[in-house]
Amino acid sequence: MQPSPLTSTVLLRLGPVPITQPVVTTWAIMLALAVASAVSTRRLQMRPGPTQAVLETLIVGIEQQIAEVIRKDARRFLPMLGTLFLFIVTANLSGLLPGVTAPTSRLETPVALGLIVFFSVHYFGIRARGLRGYLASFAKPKLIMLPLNLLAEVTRTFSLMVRLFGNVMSGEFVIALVVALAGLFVPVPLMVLELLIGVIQAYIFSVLATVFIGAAVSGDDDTSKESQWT
Amino acid sequence: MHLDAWTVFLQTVNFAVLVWLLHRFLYRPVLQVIDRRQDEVRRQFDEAKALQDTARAHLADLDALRANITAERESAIKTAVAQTEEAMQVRRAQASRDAQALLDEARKTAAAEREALTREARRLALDLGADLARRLQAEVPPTLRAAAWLERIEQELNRLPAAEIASLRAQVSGNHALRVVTALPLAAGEAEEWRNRLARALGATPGVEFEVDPALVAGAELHFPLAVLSFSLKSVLAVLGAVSGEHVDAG
Repeated sequence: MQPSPLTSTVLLRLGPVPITQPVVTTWAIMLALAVASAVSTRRLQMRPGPTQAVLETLIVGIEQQIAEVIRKDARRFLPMLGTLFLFIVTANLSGLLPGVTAPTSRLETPVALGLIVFFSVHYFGIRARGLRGYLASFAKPKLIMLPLNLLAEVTRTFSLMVRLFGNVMSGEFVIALVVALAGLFVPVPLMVLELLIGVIQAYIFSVLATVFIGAAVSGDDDTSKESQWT
Repeated sequence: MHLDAWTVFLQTVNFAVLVWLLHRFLYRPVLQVIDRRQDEVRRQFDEAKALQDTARAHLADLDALRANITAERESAIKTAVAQTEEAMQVRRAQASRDAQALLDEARKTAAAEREALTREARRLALDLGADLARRLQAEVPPTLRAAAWLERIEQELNRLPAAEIASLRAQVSGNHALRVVTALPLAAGEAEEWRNRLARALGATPGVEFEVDPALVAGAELHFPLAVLSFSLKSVLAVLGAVSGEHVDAG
């Protein structure tokens, strides 16, 4: 029986723990990002060079984006949300490398990211508003909305996860099919499109996570903000 | 579709580790340098603001100083004008005094010169008079020259008070002779006539000695032991000269 292309390939096992290809790729991405960060931030100057300027522009841009959505101290959320964006971008684009499968094209990684966002929303919400205040926000505007709000908490995270997984996975499938059917250089435009989609999906995932966290922190109804990204 | 829970768990842990790694190696260093730059910019801005405030204060001081300079300049100009006016008045007064002194000096000089000229003219006039008298005397016959003067001497003696005549007479009594000095020598007869008429006028017969002195120009002088009676042009000219303050050259 042909294994499902959606199933993660187990490369090795550490006791009962299977080490799958997405995990290994993620480790490689982690290593690359950590090394690149350490090298690029090793000699930061007051007068930035080109590399430092790009780095600062990226960090400040992410921070401003978070600040525009949350309207609070963005620096507190920068490590989590910034890493979310950088990791998803890198993971999405890693699929363009020959022989590499994007971790986000397998279900486990989007699920893990969705779970992280899910629990982060509640963590930051409870921390900002207290447990009682945060739980009370689910019964607003009416108590009858409580089941729907609880369901929405799950479904929006689920949609977040599925959106990322579906876009990346479908892009890789399309490219793989075109390569199989048409030849080596035909899918290049599709790869460029996949590159764009990978960045856009990372941006959407990160912004939606920011909107969820911002709504949890401030207590605003995030439906309007979320609707423009879904 | 199969969902591997271990992979989900590992990916969750991986993400958490990645958050820590990027926070440690990316966000914190970059944000620190951005914060340092912002602090430096803020510090430089504050310094620039302080410098600007200092410059404004200096500018205000300069404006005040310039205003003071203008006021001092105007005051100095006024003082200089006043001092110049005062100096001009002093110089004008001094010039007026100097001019007045020069004028007085010129007037004195002119008066002195005029006086000198007057004296010179008077002297010349007296000299001319003496010369004329000498020439006229020369035109008169010798016998008449002494007679006229003898007549006058006699009249003068007769007009003297008796006490003075007595005093004169007493002076020529005894061995003291009366010395008669004439401008021209007297003939023997003329001398005798002079002796007689003098004796008659004096009321005595003194010894008379005759001498000649051409400096008398004309006339004669009676030399008593204690007095001299002069009846000559020399004496007349001397009187005129004394009046005019000039010495008359009778010779």
